[in-house]
Amino acid sequence: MKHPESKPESVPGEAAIDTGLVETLGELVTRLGLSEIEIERGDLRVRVVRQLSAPVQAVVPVAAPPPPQAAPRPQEPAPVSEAPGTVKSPMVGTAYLRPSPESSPFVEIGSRVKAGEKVLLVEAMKTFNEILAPHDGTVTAILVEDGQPVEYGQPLLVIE
Amino acid sequence: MFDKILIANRGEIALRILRAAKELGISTVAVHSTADADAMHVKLADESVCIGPPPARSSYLNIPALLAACEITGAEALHPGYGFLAENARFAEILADHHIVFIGPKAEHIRLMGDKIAAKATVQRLGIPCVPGSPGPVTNENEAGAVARAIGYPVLVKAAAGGGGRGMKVARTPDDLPAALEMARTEAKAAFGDGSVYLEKFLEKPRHIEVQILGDGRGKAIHLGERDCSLQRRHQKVWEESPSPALNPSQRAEIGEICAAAMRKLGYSGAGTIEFLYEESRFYFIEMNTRIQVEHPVTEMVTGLDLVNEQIRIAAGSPLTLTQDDVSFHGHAIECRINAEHAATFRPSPGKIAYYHPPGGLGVRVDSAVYAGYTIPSNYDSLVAKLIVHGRTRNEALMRLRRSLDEFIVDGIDTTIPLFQTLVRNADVQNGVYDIHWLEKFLASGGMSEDAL
Repeated sequence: MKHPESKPESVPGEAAIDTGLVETLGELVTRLGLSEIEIERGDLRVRVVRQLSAPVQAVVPVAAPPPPQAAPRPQEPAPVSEAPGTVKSPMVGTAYLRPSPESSPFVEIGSRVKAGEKVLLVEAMKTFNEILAPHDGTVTAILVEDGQPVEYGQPLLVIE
Repeated sequence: MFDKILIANRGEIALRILRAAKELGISTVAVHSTADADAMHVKLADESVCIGPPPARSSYLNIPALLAACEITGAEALHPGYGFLAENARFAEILADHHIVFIGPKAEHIRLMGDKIAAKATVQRLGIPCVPGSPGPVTNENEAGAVARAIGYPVLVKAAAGGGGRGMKVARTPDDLPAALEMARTEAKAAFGDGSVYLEKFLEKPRHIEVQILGDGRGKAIHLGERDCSLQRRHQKVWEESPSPALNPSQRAEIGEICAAAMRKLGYSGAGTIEFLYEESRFYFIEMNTRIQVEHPVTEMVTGLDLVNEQIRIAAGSPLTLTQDDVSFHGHAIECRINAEHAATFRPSPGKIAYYHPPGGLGVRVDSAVYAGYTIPSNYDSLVAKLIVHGRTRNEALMRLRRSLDEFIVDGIDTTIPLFQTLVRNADVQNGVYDIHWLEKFLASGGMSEDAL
């Protein structure tokens, strides 16, 4: 499911990369037979690591603030989503983890469930549809948040 | 103006709608089946929602899924494209109940024009000339025989719930009539769930000429000229052009105004096309399509107007951008519908497009959602691309079409490009001398045989 992206702002105070410095370090590492070298200069820390093939340069701005994150994207499908035991949404709607706002969730990580047990609700147009466990097992992952929009085929949870 | 539109379609028309929405600064939601997860418009849309598995009835025709997708994305308007639910009056009403704007005509007009018998009666009252025929459905052989005698043989038995060229049988003599009635009824019941049939005079060599209209829903309407769509195979249009080689400017103005006036009286909202058969300088109404049509780009090239943009504006409550006096026609445009089919056998050819190079240059437009590496799914129609060319004259358009067809590469699947390369070199086509039976006759007499190619 694709969500609207907000554009990340440019990172303030990002140091201009001193390529001359990096090249010098790369050359040093190679000539002196070192595996890596790291120097710190003001805001900038540079580490050059020599691989078997070519030097790999990693520039790590020390004092610069971390770049602002893009608006949190509710779930890229996690690698676990294609695990056997993944329960996918049969419809478009809004997923709810609990029967009502005040109740506890149907299941949690570690919950043991039997086939046919209610594990989630997906609501569309004021109609709540029960998602039932397709087989016995233990809930090992919950892949959606309470109140999250879901699409057809979206992985909801994993019951192993 | 809308903030967010949900595009309830797929393929090239979904991309077309997306482009118009983006140009208006409107956010786009692409819905898709699992088979269309890699569609170009899905990639380009701001948001996407998978609404079901490949079969259309579980996805693109799945009204609850579409409503749910509007709900979770907050889309306030929905564009149905063409086909699927575009002319489903109930769907339009359901959307209205949920306070979602259907970008299309009023439900009552969709319903009216969907019933071919009621449509004919209505447009007749509105001053549009019709094919002589039975005033309503024919229920028995005697009644049918009487009507047929009155209008004169040959006659056509047509399904009331049909359309798009389906559910029609010819009776050339009184002896043919009972069988034609029986077959048409059976087919109609099977295909449309409704066995009602009516009779019309059968025209021997008509052209198919249709008029594009736009209405603001409040009594104003304009026409945007005609399209000649006579080149058809099995009642499917393959080549459309504007203006029609058969009409002169005063005929165009006359039929255009008749259509616009009718739409004013009706209070029609949005884009629509009134289809005619044209024979011996006379127009005969066959049906009205209450949606944007596949061949709309041909009108856009000649008028300079963006029809999908107009649809969105009208649905948002804006007045029409132009008055009739503002509309002008420039040059000539031709569209070829390129399908994923073998050009001679028309065997479908779904599969992966290994290499794709569309033609370009002045006056060349390609409306297509395919790209190199894209796999055409086998669940839907086989349209690969619409190639539309525009020139200052029909001859210039023909030369441009010939050049662009020769430049168009779609590797990995069969396409009907060779069919169009043959047509553009054909004398009858070049002279604009053809009718709705021409292409079938050309193919039947070996026009695309190995010797001919």
